Amino acid sequence: MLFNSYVFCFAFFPIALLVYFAFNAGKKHTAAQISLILCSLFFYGYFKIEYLAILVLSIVVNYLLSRILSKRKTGTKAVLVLGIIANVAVIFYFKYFNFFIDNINALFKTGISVFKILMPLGISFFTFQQIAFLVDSYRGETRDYNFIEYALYVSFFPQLIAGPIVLHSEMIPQFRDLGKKRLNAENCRQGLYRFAIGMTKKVIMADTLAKAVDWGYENYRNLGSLNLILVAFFYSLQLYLDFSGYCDMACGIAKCFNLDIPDNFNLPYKSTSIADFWRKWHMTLTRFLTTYVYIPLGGSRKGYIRTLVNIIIVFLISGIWHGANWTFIVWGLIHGALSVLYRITNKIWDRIVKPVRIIANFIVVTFAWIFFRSDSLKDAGVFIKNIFVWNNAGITAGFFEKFDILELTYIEDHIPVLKNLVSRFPAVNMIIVSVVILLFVFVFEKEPDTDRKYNAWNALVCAALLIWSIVSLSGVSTFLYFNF
Amino acid sequence: MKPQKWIITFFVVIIAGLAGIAVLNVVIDPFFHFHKPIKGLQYPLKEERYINDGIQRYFDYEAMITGTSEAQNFNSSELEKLLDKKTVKTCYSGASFHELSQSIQRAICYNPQLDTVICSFDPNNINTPAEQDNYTDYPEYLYDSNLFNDVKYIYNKDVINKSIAVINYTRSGQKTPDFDEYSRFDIYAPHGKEAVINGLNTSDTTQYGLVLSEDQKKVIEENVTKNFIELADANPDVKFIFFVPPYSYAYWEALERTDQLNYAADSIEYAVGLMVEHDNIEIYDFSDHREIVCELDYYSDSIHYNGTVCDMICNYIASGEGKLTEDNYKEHYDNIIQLYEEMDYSDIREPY
Repeated sequence: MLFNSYVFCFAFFPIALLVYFAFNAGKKHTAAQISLILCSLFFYGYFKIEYLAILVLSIVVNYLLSRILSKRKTGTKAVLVLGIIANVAVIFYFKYFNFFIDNINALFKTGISVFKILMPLGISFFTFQQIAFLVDSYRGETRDYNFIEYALYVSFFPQLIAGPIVLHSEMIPQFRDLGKKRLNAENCRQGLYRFAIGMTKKVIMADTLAKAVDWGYENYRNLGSLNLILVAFFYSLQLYLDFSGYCDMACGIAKCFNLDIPDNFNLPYKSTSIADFWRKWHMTLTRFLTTYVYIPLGGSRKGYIRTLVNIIIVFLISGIWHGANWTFIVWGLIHGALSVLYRITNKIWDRIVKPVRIIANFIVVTFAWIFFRSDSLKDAGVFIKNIFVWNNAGITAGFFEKFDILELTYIEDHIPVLKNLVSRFPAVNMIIVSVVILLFVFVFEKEPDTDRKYNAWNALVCAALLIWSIVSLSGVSTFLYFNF
Repeated sequence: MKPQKWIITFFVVIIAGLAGIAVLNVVIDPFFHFHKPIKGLQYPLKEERYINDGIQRYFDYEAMITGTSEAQNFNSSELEKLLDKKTVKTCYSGASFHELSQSIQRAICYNPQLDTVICSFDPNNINTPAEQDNYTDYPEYLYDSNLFNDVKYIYNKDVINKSIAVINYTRSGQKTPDFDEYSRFDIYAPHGKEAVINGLNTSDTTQYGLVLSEDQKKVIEENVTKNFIELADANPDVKFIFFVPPYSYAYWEALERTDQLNYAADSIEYAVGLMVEHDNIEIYDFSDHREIVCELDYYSDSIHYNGTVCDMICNYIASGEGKLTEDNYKEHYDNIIQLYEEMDYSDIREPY
């Protein structure tokens, strides 16, 4: 199930909320937690019932391992190592096995068959979360957690599929807090506000840009340099709005349950350096990699060269974590290299005037996203080559048409002057969409912890945005005739 | 503002907005999902894959013309005259046999009065897997009786737009197209030799000298059996009339040039041979009617013909001309091969 779906908005979310608080109102707090676990499992199994077995098994086995680790008897380090290996092995099998075989075949000219492996959704997230839990169990930080609390911590549906990667120390105390068992109007208000904004970012903005970006990446070989730059630019915005929108929805939903989950984004495209970017983009992943990879490797405590090596290792792991393709690995390494470069040159870099740093940082991040989005290194290479080997400044009509969205064409149909303008200058709709989105991303969007003033106007606007998002979940497809 | 008041304001707007949208889309119902057309409203009748199901559910008819774009230019009034049956037209351009079969099945379920189905039997669709659909994103929620998934129809901004379009269409004084006009395209597409030649695929094909293999025969058999024969057998009171669309001789020219004539004719012959045995299936083929296939003024490209040809097909069907039987179909396809082997293509081979 997705947050941006009819079944979630009209049925699942209201029912899950009502059932949870109904049990709590009757002082049946354990039953409330169990109901939330069952709802979360239903949420996950809605995609594919087979995934559920993997999630449940993962939760049970990791909890049992954590109990052994908590006892801190002899040999528990071996159990920790075994537990980490087992979790990594699970991700390796579902996510990386075929990639591994493809590379073996390419390197050694073997013909080992790959077979279809369905990757359970969110496996990278809930596995990393549980690895962190095992480590903390080994450190004695999880002694008194019971199975229900653990199961809820892992399966809690707002963060199950796409993060944020939450820590037990920030969730389980909240599950225990009796002050959070009553439906709270202020939390609901904040939650609904955030959910509506998140849904708008994902469904209205990101999905609109996605049409142009997908078209651009399907046709990149035939596009001119300027067109390709625009495709890359819009992908940067699309990815941010999609992922941060989803995280906003996650945070908003959790808030309605009186639960705070950490933010994942903090206006990352206003970052002034690559280091600043990673403090503001996918913040919980940065936190995880810092706590469980960078610091155990020695962090910055083992000399200058070793620090730089550790940075590269962390970004390599980040790249691999993101996907089973060399494009993700190269993307990770680019960020590693940029981070190292910043480490070396930050005294010079930080003296540059701020707007220039913001723009330059946005450009390098956008460049790296080309690898992230491309299907292969070869595709990324051609895409980049066609930008730098300047061939033409034209933008194809097919690209412009992706911005002729229903809302704009409806308005234009009723304003002849505007309709005339669009027919003469096909870029108009693209410019309108770009301006609106850029204003949102760079001007209107505030940091997540900003104090908001709630009034009737923003209640109306949020409601209108949510209605607009809901009616945008479905459309009328055009069946292009292929001369059958 | 107090949080309770904010939440109430929020939900009042949401409920009012969603209720208003639901009323609009359910009452206007531009795709006739919930009810038949409302008297007093005029409907533009577009988006065939969305609206055909509604036509099949709620309209009053005893005969139905269906098929791919090869059936879109039919004048249902011509068939009504000849068959003396109220006729609707519900075509799906680019459809596979599977999609057509599903549509016919639904129509039969919706309308017990339906006793005659006329359907194009496209050679281009014969040699494809039985379950194949040529598109994705079908509006399945319109084809079933699951009320819950109707949210995709009710809360759909494109449907809102269509509902508003119906209101504007009515206010502008335009009328709902009849089934002669609905889904036809010959009035928009240029016809004639130049149009046909301009639309020819002149690229070199590597598919020379294909021969119909046993595996391909199995594919054809499964496709035809699962999608049409089983449907006909399950509905013995319904007459199924299939016609092989009369592609122009420009289409056959390409097959002759690439030594695929026998392959194409054998494929159709094999499929037809499976169909002719059944009592409630009639199948017609006009590919040997030179007065059609050689007259490029009827065609907008090598395979699509206009309403004049469709009227001719209607009249042939009514008179029984071109009907294939167990006794004549093999000879018919031998004649087809001979016809197109001996055809003079000199005036359309200019692009090559």
